[in-house]
Amino acid sequence: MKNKTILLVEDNRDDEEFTVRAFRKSRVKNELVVARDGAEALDYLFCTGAYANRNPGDLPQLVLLDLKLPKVDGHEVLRRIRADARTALLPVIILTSSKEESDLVKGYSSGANSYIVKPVDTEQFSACIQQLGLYWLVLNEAVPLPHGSGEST
Amino acid sequence: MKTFFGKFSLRAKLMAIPLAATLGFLVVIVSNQAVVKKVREHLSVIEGRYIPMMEAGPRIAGEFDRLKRALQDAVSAQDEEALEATRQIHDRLLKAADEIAPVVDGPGLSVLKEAIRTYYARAFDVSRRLMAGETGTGVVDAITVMQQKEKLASASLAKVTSFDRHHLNEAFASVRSVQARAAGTSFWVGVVSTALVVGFGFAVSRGLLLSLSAFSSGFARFGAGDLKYRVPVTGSDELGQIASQANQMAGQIEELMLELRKKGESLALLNRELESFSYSVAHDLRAPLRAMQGFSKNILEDHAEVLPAEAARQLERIVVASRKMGQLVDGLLSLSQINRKEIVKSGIDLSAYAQDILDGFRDEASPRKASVTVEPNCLAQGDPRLMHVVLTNLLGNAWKFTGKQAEARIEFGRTSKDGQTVFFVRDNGAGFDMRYADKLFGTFQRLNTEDEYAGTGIGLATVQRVIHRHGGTIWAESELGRGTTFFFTLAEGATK
Repeated sequence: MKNKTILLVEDNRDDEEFTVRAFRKSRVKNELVVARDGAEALDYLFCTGAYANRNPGDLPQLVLLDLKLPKVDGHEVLRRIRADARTALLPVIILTSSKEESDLVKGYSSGANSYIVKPVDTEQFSACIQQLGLYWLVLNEAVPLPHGSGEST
Repeated sequence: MKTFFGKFSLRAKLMAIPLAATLGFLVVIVSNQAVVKKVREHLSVIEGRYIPMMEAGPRIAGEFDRLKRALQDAVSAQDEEALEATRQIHDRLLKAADEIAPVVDGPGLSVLKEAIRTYYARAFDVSRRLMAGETGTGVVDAITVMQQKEKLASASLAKVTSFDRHHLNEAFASVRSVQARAAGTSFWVGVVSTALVVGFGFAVSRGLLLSLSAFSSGFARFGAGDLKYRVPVTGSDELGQIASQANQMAGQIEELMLELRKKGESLALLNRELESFSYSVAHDLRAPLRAMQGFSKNILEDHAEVLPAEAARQLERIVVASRKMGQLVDGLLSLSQINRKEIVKSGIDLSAYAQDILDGFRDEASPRKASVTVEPNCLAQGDPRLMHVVLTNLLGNAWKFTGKQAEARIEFGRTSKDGQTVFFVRDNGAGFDMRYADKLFGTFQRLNTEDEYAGTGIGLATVQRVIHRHGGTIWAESELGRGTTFFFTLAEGATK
């Protein structure tokens, strides 16, 4: 059974490494794809640019989205995901350092499924990532997709 | 009218009212005095001249009658002596006639006296001839002449007295006319001065009232912030001066306000810039901090077996230090957020918050002997989230600083000071030296060492900002080793 991917949109290499490590230690075995800016994330999702050869039907099971991103920022990425019929129902979790109320309101208004503030403490960060994976990939029932190709473990 | 009155000062206008009244009275008094004097003159003339004459007239007539009768009596009685005695009556008659000399003008009196003398001479002659028994035409002729002379004398007398009656009428008429004229003058002077007083009074008080109502509404508009408004200036009197001074003041205030607003705006801009700067600094510090801490931990986890003990210890220190710095950064972020967050007040139950928070401490902490008292129904108007932050910090401090007490006591309640509701959080913990009370609420200020009690020194700064932003004040009373009480108020009327 082929596990669907998790798309991590993160420009900070350190945070990327911590996230990867945390997932590795958890029960989540899905492949982690990293996009380093908003534009790359959109390319991956809509199979354009560098990802032109990717199968558009093969959507990730989960998107972890940072807000402060080069080129296209997280809010814009989320807006484009929700605006497109193919990705409108894709679970998107905002994973950011920003506790700003305006970011929270904007994120939820744009249709984020969850909003998580990265703890400074890596122990807490790691615990947070593990819980998140457990919840969204194991406990949570995914939206039935038309292609029906992927199912969570 | 307005401009005419406006030229004079208010004092002059106010003075004009009694002045006009006084002038009127003076004119009336002086003219009355003149009238009285004139009337008195006339009256004294009447008294000194006509009254004696009116009395003398009948007396002369009486004496005249008496003389005639005495002559007749003497003739009838054939009495020589009585006839001689009539000379005395004649003298008295003349004397009586002389009495009116001062009041009779012209030759009337001498004519009268001459007529009396002539009559008497004839009458005496006739009487002696009759007594001598003389009869005949000679005596009859003499009697006729005598009778003519008597008529002449009576006519003279009548003329003298009737002449003066006319004068008397004239005198009275003149008194009457003087009086009438005086009454007229008084009446008109009274009317004019009353009209002046009323007119002046009306004009002045009307001007005053108009100016005052203009001031009142103008000042009200100034007060409401309409500094572009100008109080209408009528005339150059004191009221006009007040109006123009008030206008000038409003102009200056407006200028100052404008300047102040500009400064305030630039200050607010600067403050916002500073806030967003410190926010982004704090925010951007989080990622590298996480890296420092995370990689140190990764080394400790992944390479524990090859790591020398000293290296492991120092890495642990890095982990602890970066965790500490993370807390500071988070504190700074929340402080900055509190400054920027808009306060949305609603009715809140501080007692319920306090109870919840204290219950939470009990759940988390290892079992502690602590007696907690929360006064019920401490209601207030405030931002629910921020007031929760305040109580979390204050009660958290109380919990923390009673940690070494054998029997901790923590109390939340309400008291009042100068009629205002004051909330308090009291503990019997470590306390602090009141000499350092002014440092209590400073950012990153701590009154204990890190080894004794953990903390970032941001909690009370945050609490103070929240209280200030609610329009309240916060202060503390403490004694080393005996405990601390924090008191805080909220804006007037925010507590019920």
